[in-house]
Amino acid sequence: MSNLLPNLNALLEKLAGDGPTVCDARVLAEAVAHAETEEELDAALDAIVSEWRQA
Amino acid sequence: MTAASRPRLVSLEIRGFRAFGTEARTLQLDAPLVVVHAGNSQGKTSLAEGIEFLLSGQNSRRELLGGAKAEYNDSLRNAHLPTASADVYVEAVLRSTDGTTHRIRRELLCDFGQGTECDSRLLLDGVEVTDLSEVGLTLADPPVRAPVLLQHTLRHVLSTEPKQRVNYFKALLSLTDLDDFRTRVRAARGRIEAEPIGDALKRVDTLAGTPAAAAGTTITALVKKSLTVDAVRTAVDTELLRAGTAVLTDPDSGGEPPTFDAVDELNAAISAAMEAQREQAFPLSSFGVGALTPDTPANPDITGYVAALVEVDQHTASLTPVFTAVLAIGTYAELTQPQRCPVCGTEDALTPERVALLRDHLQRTQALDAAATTTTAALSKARHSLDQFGATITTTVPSVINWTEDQHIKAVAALQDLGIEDTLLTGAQSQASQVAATASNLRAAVAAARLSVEQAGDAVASRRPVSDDLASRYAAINSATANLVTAIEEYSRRVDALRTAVEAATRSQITVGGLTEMADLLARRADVVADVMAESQRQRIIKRLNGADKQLRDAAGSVLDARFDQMSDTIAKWWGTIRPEELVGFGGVKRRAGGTLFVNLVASLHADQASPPIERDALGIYSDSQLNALGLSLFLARNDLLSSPIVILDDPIPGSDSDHRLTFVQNTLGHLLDAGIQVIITTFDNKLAEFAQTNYGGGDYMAYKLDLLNVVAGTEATQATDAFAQFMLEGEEHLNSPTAKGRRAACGNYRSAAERLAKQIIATGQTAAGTPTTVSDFDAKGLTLGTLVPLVLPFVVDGNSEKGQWRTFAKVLNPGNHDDDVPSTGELKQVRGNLRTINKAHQKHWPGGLLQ
Repeated sequence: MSNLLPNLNALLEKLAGDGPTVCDARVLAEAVAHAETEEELDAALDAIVSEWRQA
Repeated sequence: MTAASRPRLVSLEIRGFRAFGTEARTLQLDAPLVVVHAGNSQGKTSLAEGIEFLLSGQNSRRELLGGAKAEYNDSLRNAHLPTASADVYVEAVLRSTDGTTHRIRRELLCDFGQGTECDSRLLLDGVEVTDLSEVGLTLADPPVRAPVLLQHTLRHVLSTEPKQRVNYFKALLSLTDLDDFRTRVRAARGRIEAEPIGDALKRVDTLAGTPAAAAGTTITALVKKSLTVDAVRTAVDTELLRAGTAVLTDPDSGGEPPTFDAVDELNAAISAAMEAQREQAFPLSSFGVGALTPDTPANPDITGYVAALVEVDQHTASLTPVFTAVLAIGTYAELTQPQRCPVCGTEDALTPERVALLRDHLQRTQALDAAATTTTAALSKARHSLDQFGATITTTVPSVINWTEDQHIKAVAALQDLGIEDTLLTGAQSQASQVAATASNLRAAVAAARLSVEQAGDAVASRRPVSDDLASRYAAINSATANLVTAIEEYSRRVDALRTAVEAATRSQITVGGLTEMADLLARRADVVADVMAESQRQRIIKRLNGADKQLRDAAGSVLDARFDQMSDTIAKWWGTIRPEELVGFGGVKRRAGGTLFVNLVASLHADQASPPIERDALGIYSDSQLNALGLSLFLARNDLLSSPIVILDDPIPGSDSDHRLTFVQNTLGHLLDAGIQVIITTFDNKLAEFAQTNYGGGDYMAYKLDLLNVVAGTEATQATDAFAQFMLEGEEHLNSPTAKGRRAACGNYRSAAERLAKQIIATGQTAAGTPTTVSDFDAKGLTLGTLVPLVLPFVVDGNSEKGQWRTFAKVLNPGNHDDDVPSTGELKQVRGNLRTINKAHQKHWPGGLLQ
């Protein structure tokens, strides 16, 4: 888990449920799990947005 | 980590930081509890902030105390430090969990300045590092990073706005990362939101106010639907067709509105309507030129024929067609008796033998025939190609070339009406003439080539040699074509300029509403579809990010609640140590109305110990003393959560709060010390210092006194249990006195210091020699300096020099009480220096230093 986001696991535990917005939130949170810098974090989020564009 | 194995500060050295000046000051801190007592403005807070700076490289005062940042410029470096003296540092020796010691040093590289933060470098055992986690000292999130409770820290959380308060708690709970994450998600959404709407889609808005407004609204609304690109294309086309009908319907005509089945049909109608409108203002159609198609004709390949012809007799070859014709007739082909020749009419000239000869000849000229057939086909194709090409040449000549003078005059007038320079017209006309001339040249070249091809065809048909001018004819076509293309390009440039000017000028004169807008949209129809798809997708992504952000906010709020519950219990524990068994208690930290932006501190009010509590906002209920206790409890709770092994408390209990000194000392400090936490307290309150010494005095306790006697040298730290140092410090206060009374006081201080030092040396020396002795043994005897000097001489470590100094002390310092013989300042300084030297030498000489 990223040092940048030490509480991400606690956050993910609270993101329970199958609703589309919860799923999206979880996808975003999981995407940044290994980001070590803000630049990597932004890139991870942008990658998810790109995937959403393809969908 | 056990209490015994926790890291501890062993010593601290400060130079040039805030109240600490040119002299480096050292404090031995190797005890679980260190109490630093001082009056106001003597350097207590500077000491606490020095430790904060050492651990974090920051100064939370600037973040929390309010005011403009600029008000803290140059606030860390001692103001009296000489400019050339750059050595501002705080250094400590730390004993880590494994018992090894490490030297930590923070050097100030740059103070707070105009628009700049302070900068420093941190060294761990001489190696530059970014933090001290390696030796077990971790930092919390900003703004309060180090385990140092300063007055502004204590009050900040209470006095700040609720919105800032929640940030403080998040920082305490190290939860700011979740806020940071949400900030980045919102930034990602911001990047999507900032993406521009496609230009073609924006142009749909131009239909507003035209008869096609409804179509514009419908197209714009497509972005809200999740449609496939085909569905969007169909919908856009449908709306454009509807819009076209609306735009091209003449309400005054009374006729049926035009309808269109296909966009191409509509496009043509709109273009025609636009052209008609423009032609009314200016005859642009006269400047149109056709394209030069098909491609430039290619030279037909006759090489096969030429080669075959070389292989046969020329004269005979020319007769081959005649032979072929004769043998095509069955009578002659199967001849058995001589007959009359059908060509020349000679009787019996055609015999079976001659027919056999003809057949033999035809057999030999078969290759030539085949080449002739191929070449004839190529020449036929070339003729056709030249005819087609020639036909297109005419279309490249604009009709403006045929304008009459009257037409020209009218056109110039029309341009003037439109406010356009007529040079654009004359330039185009001039180049049109050039186009016409080059087109004429090309036509001539094509005609010449056509004639040569015709002649070549005749030659092949009669198996004659073909004239060799074909190649040059086609080269002439290529050359003339290039000239025409160049002329047309230049012409097109000039006409484009004219057209652009005319279209722009006539745009406002187009009387059919929505016509130009429709023309624009039809020209960008594919872009409109693409823009609708892109915008629809953009809106969906923004919506998804919004939904996800809301979920993240709620989840982060739940995490915060769980941490608040945990922290509330911890705060209540510390509150109980300071204010036990009180009816006003601490009820917890709670988010206001389930939101994430505001945090309330809750007071629980009991009518008696057994009654259920009534909850109120603590800030509105608590007294000043209770608020202070709350701030202290919050800080200690944070320290618990961070498992910090060291805590520095700057005036934790106000002197006015006498009721809670003892509970603080006995309960709060007790809990901290039991947990193995090293506690360093600075206090103005001598009672608190006394209570601390009474409760914890001994090997586990150290006390210091701070004095700021010389603002340049800076705050001086004296170990309060070191009586010699105390006397020396007091003597310092009177040393430079111009009056006899002042110097007499200094003399008394130095005499007491000398007596104290002598007792320490004798006690230490006798103990080392096998006779355990304490300093207080001599205190009880009431010995004076005169009687102590002979006793100390056996223990001198610097031979006769030290002996002489001791005898001089007795001589110089004893008359100090006499009114008529007070030592001079120079003599007193000499005594001071000798006393310091002797003390230093003995502290170093005796194992473990001198007994106290």
